[in-house]
Formats: sequence, C-alpha cells, structure tokens
Amino acid sequence: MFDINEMKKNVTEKLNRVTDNEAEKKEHQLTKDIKNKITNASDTNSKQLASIGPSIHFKGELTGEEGLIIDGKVEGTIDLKGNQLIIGNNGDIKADVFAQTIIVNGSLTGELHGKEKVHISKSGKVAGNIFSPRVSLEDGAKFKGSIDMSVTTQDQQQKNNQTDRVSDSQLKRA
Amino acid sequence: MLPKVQTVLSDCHSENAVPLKTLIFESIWQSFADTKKTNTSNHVAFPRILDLGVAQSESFRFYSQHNCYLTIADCLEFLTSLRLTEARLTEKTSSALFNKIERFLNLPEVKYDLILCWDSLNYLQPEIMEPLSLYLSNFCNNNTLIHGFLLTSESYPKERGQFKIINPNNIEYKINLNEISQHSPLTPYSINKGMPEFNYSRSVLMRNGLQEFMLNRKQ
Repeated sequence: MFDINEMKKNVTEKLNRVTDNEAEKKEHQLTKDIKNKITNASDTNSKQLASIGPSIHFKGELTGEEGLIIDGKVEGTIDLKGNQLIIGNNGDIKADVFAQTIIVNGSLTGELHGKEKVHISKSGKVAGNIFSPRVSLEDGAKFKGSIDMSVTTQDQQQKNNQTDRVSDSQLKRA
Repeated sequence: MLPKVQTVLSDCHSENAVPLKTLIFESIWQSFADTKKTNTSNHVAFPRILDLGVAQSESFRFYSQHNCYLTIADCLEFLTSLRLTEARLTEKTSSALFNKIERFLNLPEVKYDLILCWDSLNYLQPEIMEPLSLYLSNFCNNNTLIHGFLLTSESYPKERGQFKIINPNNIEYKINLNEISQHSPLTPYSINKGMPEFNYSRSVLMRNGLQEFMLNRKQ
C-alpha cells in the first residue's frame, strides 16, 4: 500500500533539499567572488599607492596627485585631490584631509573631506567632522563628530542637472 | 506591581538582544517625512540629529538613508561617570558641571530637531540632569524633541544597553543580564524636575518593562 500524501511530502522535501543545495552553492560562489575581488583590489591598491611607513613622522602640508597609504604619523593637512587615501592600522593622523575616497583603519583627528566616500573600518578611530556624500562605518569603529549626509541629495541634484543639460545638447545635435 | 527586568530576558533572541517595537520613534520619523513632503520652499529640510550614544553601523545605515545632519556625541560614558561631590547641587557646582559637559561635548552651533539619549537618564546621577538639560537647551529650536527609554523595574542591568536602529519601529536593545543592580527607578516626575527646559510629553510602556518617552522643548 502506498500513501499518495506521503509520496507528495517526500517529493517536495527532496525538491527543497535540491534547491537549498543550489542556493548554498550560489552563495558560496558569490562570497568566493567577493573575496577574490577584495584581495585583487587591495593588491592593486598597494602596488599603485605611495606609502608613508610606520617610522615616519611628518608635520606640515602634504599634497600629491596619486593615492597614498599612511602608516606613520602626520600632523597638518593632507590634500590628495582626486585620489585615494588609506590610513593604515598604525596610522595616526592629526590633520584636515582632502581626497576622493578616504579609508580609515587607524586613528584620525580632524576634518575629513571625501569627494566620493569615507569609510571607517572596525579598527578605525575618528574624532572630527565628515563632509562626504557617502559615509560608511563598520561594527566596532569609533566615531565622534558630525556628518552632513544631506550633501548627497544636493550633489545628486547637481549631477541630475548636468546630465539633463548633456542630454538636451545631445538632442539638439541629433 | 512593576515589571522585573527578568521579563526582558524572555524576549531575548540571541546574545541578550531585545527587539523593541518603538511607536514614538516611528511617529517622530513620520513627522520628519511629512515636513519634507509639505515643505514647498526650495530649501529641503533634513532632520538634524544629535545622538548622545556611540556610533553603531546599523544606526549609521539608517541615518544615511534619511540624509540627516548627524552628530555622534559619544558622551554617555562620560555623563554617567560624572559625580556630584557635595551633598546638594548649588549654583557653583551646577556651573562647574555645566562647564565640564560643555568642554567634553563641544557641540557645533546647530539647532537639532531630535536628541537621542537612549537609556542614559536611568544611569545618571539625578543632579547631573539639570546642567545637562541647560547645556542641551542651547542646541534646541522650539520643536526639538528628546527621545529615550526609562527602565521601570527596581532591578536592571548594571551597564547601559546598546541600541541599534534597524528601522523606525524596530530598535535592537542589547543588554548584559549577568550583572543586575538595584536602583530606585526614574519617574516622569523626576525627569520633569531634573530637566526644567523640557516637558515630559509622551510615553509608551512596553511589555518588557521599558518605557519609551519623548520630551518637548518648553515654549
């Protein structure tokens, strides 16, 4: 004797198991891809960026037109214009910072002006104000200060206006 | 009878994290959203938030979704460590405390719409409330609100909890229930007395014994 309900139940259970396995496989592949991307990115970063080592102590105005990793001490101002700044785990900065993206793994006291993004990692410690359209913070990161997140929409409006103007001119040309 | 802190434990999911259904907090954010919608001027009003607690990644994500002007004061440890050395609060001791608070917080000259004090008032020495209230009132407009939680039981966690904003009606409250201490619970009356610049205007008592409250700036 067979029970049709029991069979149905078994089939659905098996199907669920198969779909669960597939989902797990996909998730595993995704995390693998993300990890690869992160390691590749950090490899290229360390190859391309200039660096200030842990034994270096700099006072004054630091300017440059390339990306920079700081693991030493810097006091004053740092202006990297459209480039990336990474404060390493040993980095200790007391300065106002201007860069495209700023990643803080160490300690920073001062104003952070990130044209694109500011990220404070779990080992990061920031005391000061942040001016950036995108700010992110990892669990465990320490932050004390103010952030003007309303910059985002103003920037977006400006960008929208610019793209509107571009598309208008393209239309006229056409 | 007042609910005991142990009732909170029964609501815990993992690592003593309690999800709080926060009706008042939700209504505050709804009112911010309504102001944004009805605002006809070119200048878009963004809520200005003063969070007296520590920076939390989840809360940060929430604030960034709402394009706030945000100040993280990270001052609760400092405030709860403040002690009045004399028996009574005099004008002199009050101004000394005010100066200490001013020096530590050093807030920017902004009039905030919302001040989040979480569960800190329960852990403050009652005499500290007055200089704190006076200091905070300098950064308030006529509509500024203070939001927080009262612990209504006589025994509650020795250490302050951690609050994470998941969304306006869901705040995660993480507590350490291994160390419980006895307190005389703070009442709305003692808040009104201790913070004369503000009015205790609304409160909701939750099943777990926490009381969500809101203070209005006195006109």
